[in-house]
Amino acid sequence: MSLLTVRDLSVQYGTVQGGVLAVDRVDLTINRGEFVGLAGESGCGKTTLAMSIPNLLPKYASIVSGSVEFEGKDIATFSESELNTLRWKDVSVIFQGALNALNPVQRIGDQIAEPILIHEPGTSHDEAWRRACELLEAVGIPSARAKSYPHEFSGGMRQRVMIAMSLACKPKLVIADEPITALDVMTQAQILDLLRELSTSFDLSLLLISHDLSVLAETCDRVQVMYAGRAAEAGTASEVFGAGNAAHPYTRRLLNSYPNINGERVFIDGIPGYPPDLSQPQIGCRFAARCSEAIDVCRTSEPDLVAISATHSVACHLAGKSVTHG
Amino acid sequence: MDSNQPTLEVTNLVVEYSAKSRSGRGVEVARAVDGVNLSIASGETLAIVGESGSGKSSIANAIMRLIDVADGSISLEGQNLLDLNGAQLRTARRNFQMIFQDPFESLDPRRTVLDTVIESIAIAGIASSHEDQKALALQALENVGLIPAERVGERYTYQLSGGQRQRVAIAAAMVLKPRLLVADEPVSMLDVSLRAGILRLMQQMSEQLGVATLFITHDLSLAWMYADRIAVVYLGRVVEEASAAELITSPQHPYTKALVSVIPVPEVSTHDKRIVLTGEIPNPTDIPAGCRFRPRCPKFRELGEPDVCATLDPKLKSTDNHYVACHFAGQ
Amino acid sequence: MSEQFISEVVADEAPRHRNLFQQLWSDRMGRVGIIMTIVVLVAAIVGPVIWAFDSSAVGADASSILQGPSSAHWLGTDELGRDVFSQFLEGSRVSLLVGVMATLISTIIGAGIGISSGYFTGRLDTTLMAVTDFFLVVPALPLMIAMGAIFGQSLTIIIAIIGLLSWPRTARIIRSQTLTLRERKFVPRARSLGATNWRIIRTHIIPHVLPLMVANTILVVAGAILSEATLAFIGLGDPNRISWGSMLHFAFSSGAVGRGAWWYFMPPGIGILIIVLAFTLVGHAFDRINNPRLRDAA
Repeated sequence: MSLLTVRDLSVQYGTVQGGVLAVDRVDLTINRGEFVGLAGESGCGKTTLAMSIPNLLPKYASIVSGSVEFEGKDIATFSESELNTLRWKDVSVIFQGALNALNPVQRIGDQIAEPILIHEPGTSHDEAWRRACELLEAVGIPSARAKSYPHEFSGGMRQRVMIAMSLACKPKLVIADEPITALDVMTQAQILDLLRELSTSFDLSLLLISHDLSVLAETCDRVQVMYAGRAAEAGTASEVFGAGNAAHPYTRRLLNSYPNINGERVFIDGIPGYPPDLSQPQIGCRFAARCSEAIDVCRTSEPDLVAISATHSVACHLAGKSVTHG
Repeated sequence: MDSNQPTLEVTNLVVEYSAKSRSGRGVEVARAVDGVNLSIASGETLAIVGESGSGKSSIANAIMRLIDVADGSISLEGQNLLDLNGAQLRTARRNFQMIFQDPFESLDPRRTVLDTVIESIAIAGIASSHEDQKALALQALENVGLIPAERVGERYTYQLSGGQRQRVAIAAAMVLKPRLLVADEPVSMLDVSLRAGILRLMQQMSEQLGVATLFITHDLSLAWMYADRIAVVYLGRVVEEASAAELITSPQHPYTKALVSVIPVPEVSTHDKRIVLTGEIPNPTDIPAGCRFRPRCPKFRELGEPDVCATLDPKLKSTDNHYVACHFAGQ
Repeated sequence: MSEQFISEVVADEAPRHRNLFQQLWSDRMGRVGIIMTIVVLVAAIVGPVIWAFDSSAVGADASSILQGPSSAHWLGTDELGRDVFSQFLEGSRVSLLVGVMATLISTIIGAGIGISSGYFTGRLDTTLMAVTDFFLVVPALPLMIAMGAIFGQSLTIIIAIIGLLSWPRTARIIRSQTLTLRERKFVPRARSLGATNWRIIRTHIIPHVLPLMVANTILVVAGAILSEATLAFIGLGDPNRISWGSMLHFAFSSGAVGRGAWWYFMPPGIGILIIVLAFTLVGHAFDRINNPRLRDAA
């Protein structure tokens, strides 16, 4: 049984006539111990999709269809207290920009201990502090620094603290939203290595959200590429990122938007135009207007996500036909 | 003028700033840039690559004369920018222009697109009548692909997307036909799919005008693609400089080797060759003695911590136009 | 292929912004404030033209002083038998005049100091802020009283005193806004184009602080009117001009209050209340429009 199953999920922002479907009929599965990447550019719905898992959507957003099942249980049936248990103890979130979300006047150790004290009532303060120190060691920070304040830490160190905090209640799934975006390349490599190590030692599954395909390519077992609220392509890392494998034109164009130092030194490609305005009704494939391969059917009918192998699926009318000239 | 003279020649550049000491008492001097030499020919692009805290932005801001320079010289077509007085400097500024990192911050949201470009023309004084300024500005907007220019010009800058704003910034800089363009992370705030368009635009305009470009970035692979040469900076120093292709294929400095090894590539890769350094760039108030990279250097440990690394600051030495500051380069 | 990256057709029409008046009008408190301000302004400008006040038209005998409202004197008469209604209209002019002029002085000084201090920083900032802090902590009212007593009691001097003592808050607010603005990258960008400091201040700082300055100015007007009323009430007003403050002063000193002549002391009191409230409402509404954080909280 998979750890997490999201089925046909749609999330709407705003209400009545001005609503925007930020996530539109999307599936997502995460198995135990798996690293899953959620890719896409700003506004594609990747964060919204992820935040609907622990039901942390903002007030003006609502799930309008579909289900989120964690360990086989539909979270829509959860009471408020069950949801609170789900957050932190089952699913913890490293928020985007969390680097700056630490309380500047509280010791690091206390901040890590806080979720333990809240979610595991009866834990003594000493016990929580001791576990905070262990967690710091686990993320590569000497436990002696538990007494430090956030301003004494660099960006990379603070991200380690955020990771330690997300592990405080021994969750089964960690959702990390752009966890390395603000960091330097070397620090990014350190943090990605750390996440890989921790997944083994803490028996974690990880949902890694990033706009950077090259980061996901190196880290994840499976990847799902989002475009304008829809899943464009999903598959194992090698199915999506392996040379010439990407089946959706958007994925291919996006991959060509990165310089590849293993390849020839050529100017990167971009994608002309902008993503569609989701407050308008969408007809046909959402990528058609920017797609150089689009044919008539792309502009009139929306492609479904269809499997092209046991693990690889793509939402493109040309899938299978266009791979040759990709 | 000597035809072999580089457009920009920076010698022994030093930038210092005072920082509160870590104890909170007193003031320490931080050397953000510590003796940097650069030279860029007309039409050439030099990328400066470094992590945050490496001093790469200080180098850019010093060359743009936006921050104080403690020592050295910055010579643009033979004229030392540090010798100019206030009015002379303002007049000279049209010859060196900058594209800033964040297009959401670098354009005044209370001004229209046309006003933004006209401002640049008016300050430089390259057209006197308002009609001429406007015609020039509209042409500049068209040149960067913002069409229809008349209509785009009426918009306020905050009504544009990031990519469009960066085009406005490029228009306002390039309309002055500068000799030097300093681009400080010009695409790092933009969505990946839009980067190529902006970079290609910069490249085409620079080529047309024969501009020397200083391209500041943290992204080594982008530098490799865009620049002719790359200088890697670490803690205020250039530690390695070579042609872009050579720097990536045969890096000599242990720091560059590590940086190259962790470049993410958009394909499934094996992690066996990666050299992940521990720790972070030290504070520039506290530069290590000897080789400044020594505390994090894998080679230093591999070689059994040779004394020379701890005592002697390595100079940037060249073989075939490939400069490396390491006592054990190539070994 | 490359051509398509070079061109970028910008789609038409972003939503036009509603003008300031429309925004103020849609704020309920702002609307009340605007209506009240207009009423006061019309009363002050048109009123005295129609119902001119004659200070020499004193009552002939005791029966004409401190009379209650009648058809001849809508708001009765004062202790000298003069018409209170026309006096009340005349007084609004002085209140407004002092309020606006003093605010003008205060805003010019405050904005000048605030912008220079925030833009240039360094030693100039330290010095200017030391001066500002001094004026900020000096108890303004006693100082106004002392200065009024020293320099005499003409309207000009009262305007000058109030103006010179009410700028520090403005300076503080404008300075902090300027400090934030100079960190915005469009300021170094303008400098890199070769813009002079004056040009940067004129084109990139002032337009941004202007809304804040206007909101603050409107609030300062309310304060200045109150200050004038206070000075006049304690007898330090211009003896040759009638203001609401001086009406209250004479109402008290002549014993009208003790004799229950409400028609004499109520109108100037209510007038001050309305005018101060009007400006305060508009000022706060303005503040809400400019400051999205306040708007969301409301």
